[in-house]
Amino acid sequence: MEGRRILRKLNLMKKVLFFLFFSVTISGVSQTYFTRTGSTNFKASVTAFEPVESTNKSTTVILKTRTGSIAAQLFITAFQFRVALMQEHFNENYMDSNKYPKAVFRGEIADFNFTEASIQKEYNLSGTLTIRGVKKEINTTATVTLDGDKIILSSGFTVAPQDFDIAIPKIVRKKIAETIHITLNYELVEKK
Amino acid sequence: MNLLKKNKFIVFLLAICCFGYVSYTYLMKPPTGIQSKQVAFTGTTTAFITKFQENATDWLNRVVVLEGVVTSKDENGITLNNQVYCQFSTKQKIVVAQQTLKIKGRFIGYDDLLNELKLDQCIIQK
Repeated sequence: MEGRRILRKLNLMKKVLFFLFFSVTISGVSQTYFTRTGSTNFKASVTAFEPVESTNKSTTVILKTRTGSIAAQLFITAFQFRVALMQEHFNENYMDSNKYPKAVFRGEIADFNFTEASIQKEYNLSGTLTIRGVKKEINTTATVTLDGDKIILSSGFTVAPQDFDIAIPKIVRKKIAETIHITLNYELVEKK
Repeated sequence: MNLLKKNKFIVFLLAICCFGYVSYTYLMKPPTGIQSKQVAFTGTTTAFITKFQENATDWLNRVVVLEGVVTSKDENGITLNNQVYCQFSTKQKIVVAQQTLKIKGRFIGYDDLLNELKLDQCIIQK
């Protein structure tokens, strides 16, 4: 009788231990998704003039799926333009890429629930964008799509050159839009 | 001479056109690729990192040739010695496994999120 009770207790303990072990391994699984080659595009075109737009295909993005916190970083020099002269002006006159080589975004996807992001879902994305050492709060929406083992995050927002103390000379003011559209498309894979 | 005088207007127009064409092609020139740029550094990734630590801003936008062991790869690029990520211009299937490679590319900066250096427009040299 006594032996049976002990056996039952042991069995229960086994179950508890198994459960504990299992839950620990689950939460221990890497919860970070990342990319080194995310694409960030900006458009500041005015109709009837040469399009002012460029894409940066070397954006690094890290997303913590448990908390929804996100960090993105890109190098200003990695923006590729169609026209060499435009790229030169962008780097030297407007963005000062030697002095401020990076643009950084740190923020959070509100109520991000990885398991819930079954196929496609829209979330609120907010955070701080730092360009030329100037910070600006960004509030926008982001679409998160699960594609196999990838997470595809796409979003967009607008900024103005004066938000980041970028002075546009009078002579080209008509050729550059007052609001600049930024679109993001990041394909994230699990970080091992 | 007489003929030239008569066609002064046409000659003038042609000159304008020529000038316009030359200045347009100059203004609209696409960015130069890394092929035509001078190589600023050749050596191992570790040697480049020490050089970079000495003077970080000096290397921005310069073309370098780095040698190292391939530690990981994806469809967009290759990581050398877990220190430098080399991104290609186009997606491609890379068939290398644990071997030494020489890669030419443009240095774009130090990525502090992943703690590695980054090159773009890379070409495998060997």
